[in-house]
Amino acid sequence: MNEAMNMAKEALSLGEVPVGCVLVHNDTIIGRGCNATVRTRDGTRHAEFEAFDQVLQSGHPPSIFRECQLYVTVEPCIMCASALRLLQIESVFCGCMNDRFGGCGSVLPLHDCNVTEYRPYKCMKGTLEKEAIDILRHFYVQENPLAPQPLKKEKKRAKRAERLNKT
Amino acid sequence: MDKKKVSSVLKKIQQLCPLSHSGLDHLKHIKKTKKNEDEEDLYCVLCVVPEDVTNISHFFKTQEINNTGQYSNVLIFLKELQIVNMSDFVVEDTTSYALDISRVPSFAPRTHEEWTEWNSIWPLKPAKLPPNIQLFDIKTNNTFEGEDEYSNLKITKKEAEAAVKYMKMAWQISEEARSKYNNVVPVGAVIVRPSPGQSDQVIATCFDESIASMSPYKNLFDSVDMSSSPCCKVPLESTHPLNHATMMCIRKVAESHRPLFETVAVVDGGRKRKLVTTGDDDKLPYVCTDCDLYITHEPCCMCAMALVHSRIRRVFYAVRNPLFGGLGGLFSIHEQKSINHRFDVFTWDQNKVI
Ligand SMILES: [Zn+2]
Ligand SMILES: [Zn+2]
Repeated sequence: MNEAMNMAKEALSLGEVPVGCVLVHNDTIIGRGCNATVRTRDGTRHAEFEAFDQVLQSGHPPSIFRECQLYVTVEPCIMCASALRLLQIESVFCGCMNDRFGGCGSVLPLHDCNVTEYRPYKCMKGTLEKEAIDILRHFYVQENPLAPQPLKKEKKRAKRAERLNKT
Repeated sequence: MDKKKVSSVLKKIQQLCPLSHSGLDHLKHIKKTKKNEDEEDLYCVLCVVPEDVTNISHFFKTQEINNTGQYSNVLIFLKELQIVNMSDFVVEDTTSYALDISRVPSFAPRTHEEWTEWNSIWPLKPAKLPPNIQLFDIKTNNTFEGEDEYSNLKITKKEAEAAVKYMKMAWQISEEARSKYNNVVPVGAVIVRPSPGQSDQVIATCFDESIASMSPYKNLFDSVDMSSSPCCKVPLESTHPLNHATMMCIRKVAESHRPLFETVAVVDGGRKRKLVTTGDDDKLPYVCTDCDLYITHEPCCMCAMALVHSRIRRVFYAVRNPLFGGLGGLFSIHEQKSINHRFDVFTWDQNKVI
C-alpha cells in the first residue's frame, strides 16, 4: 500500500488527481499506475487502467489477473470495479472510500453482485486511510483546471475526507 | 399489525438485504396482497436463491444475508412479518411464519408493456422508461409511422431518423470486422458529434477488440438468444480483455483532442500548480461532451461508467445485456443518484432487433 501511495504522490506531482495503485502477483509488483486523466485528456484513464496496460504490455497473459491483488489508495470507481470483475482479480485493498463513484459497495456493489460468469472478489478497506484522504485533501485545496465545471465528485470526496478527518 | 412496527421492521430488512446487491434495484422490496377485508399479507424480498434449493428454511438459516453473489433469479420471501424478531434477524416462532420462493423479474423493464406485465408478477419501482415506440427495425428497415409517436419522446423525428442511420453504421462496422474474427461479429460502435446548422460529425467508429485471437464466441447472427452475446462475454484469453467497443471509441476521441491541448503542468514546490494550454479551454471539447453513442449491444457496467466519465450526451443501443449491462440490463448507471453526470438512453423493441 505504501507503493500505491507513492504512485498517488507521483500523480500529484504531475497535476493529476492523486490516486495510485499497484498490482501484486506472488509478492511481486507487476504493474503500477497513477491517474492520467489530465495528461491524456481521457476521463477513463484511471490509475487502475494504467496498471492493467502495464501488465499486459510487459507480456503477461490476461489470465494473470486471476492471481493478482490490487492495492489502490481510493476505492475503485464503478468502471474500474467492473473491469476488475471482468479480469477476475483475486482481491482488492483500498485506502479510503469513494462516496460518489465507488464500485465496491459505496454506490454499487460490482465486486460481489450477482453475475455468475465472473467470480466475485473481496474488497478490504481502510489500509493507510488517513494518508489516502490527506493527499486528496491536499489536491483539492487547489482546483482542477481542466474539468469542464468543478467536479462535484472530487469536491464531495474532499468534503468527506475532511469529515473523516474530524472524527 | 401495528403500522409503525411494520415500517421499522421493513427498514431493517432493507438495510440487511439491499436489493442493489443482487442487481434487483428495479423491484419494490415489499409486496402486499389482500387476504380479506381487513387483513393484508406482506411479502418481503430477502435474498436470491439458486434454482436447485429444495429445503428453504435450511438454506435460509445457513445463508449469510449479505452474500447473494452466485445465485440466480429466484427469491425467498417472508410472510407475516410480525413474527420476526429483527434485532438479530432470527425467526423466533417457527410455527407462524413462512419462507417461500417467488419468481421475480431479474432485470429492469425496458418498455411499458414489460413494466405492466412484470409488475403483475412482483411490484416494480416506477421506472423512467425509454420511448414506448419502435424506433427502428433493423430487419425490415422499417422506421417510423406517424408523427404523433414522437410527442412523448425526448428526441425529434429528425434525430430519430439520424439514429437509425448511425445504428445501421454501427452494425455495418461489426459486420466488416467479421473476417478478422473467424466469422464472429463483434460489437460495433459509432460516436457522433452533432453540429447545429451543419452536418453531423462521425468522430469515432470502433468494434470490440477484446475478442481478438481467441476462440470465437457465438456468431451473433446465428445465436438464438441475442441477449447472451454482449460485450462483456469475452474469455480472458484475449489479448486485451478490456478493449470493448465503447472503450476503444472513447480512447479514439480523447486521442483526437490531445493535439489541441499542449498542457504543461507547473509544480511549485509540490504545492501550487499552473496549467498552460495552447488553446482556449472553454472552447475545447471535454472528451464526449455533446456527443452521442450508437452501439449494437448494451454497454457493460465498465463501459457505462466510462461513458459517465466521458460526459456522453445520449446512448442508443440495440441489444440488451441482462448479464452485465450498465444501462438497464443489470444496473442503470446513467440514472444513479450519486453520480453527477446523467444521460438519456434509447433502445429498440427487443423482439424486433435483428
Ligand atoms: Zn476508476
Ligand atoms: Zn463493455
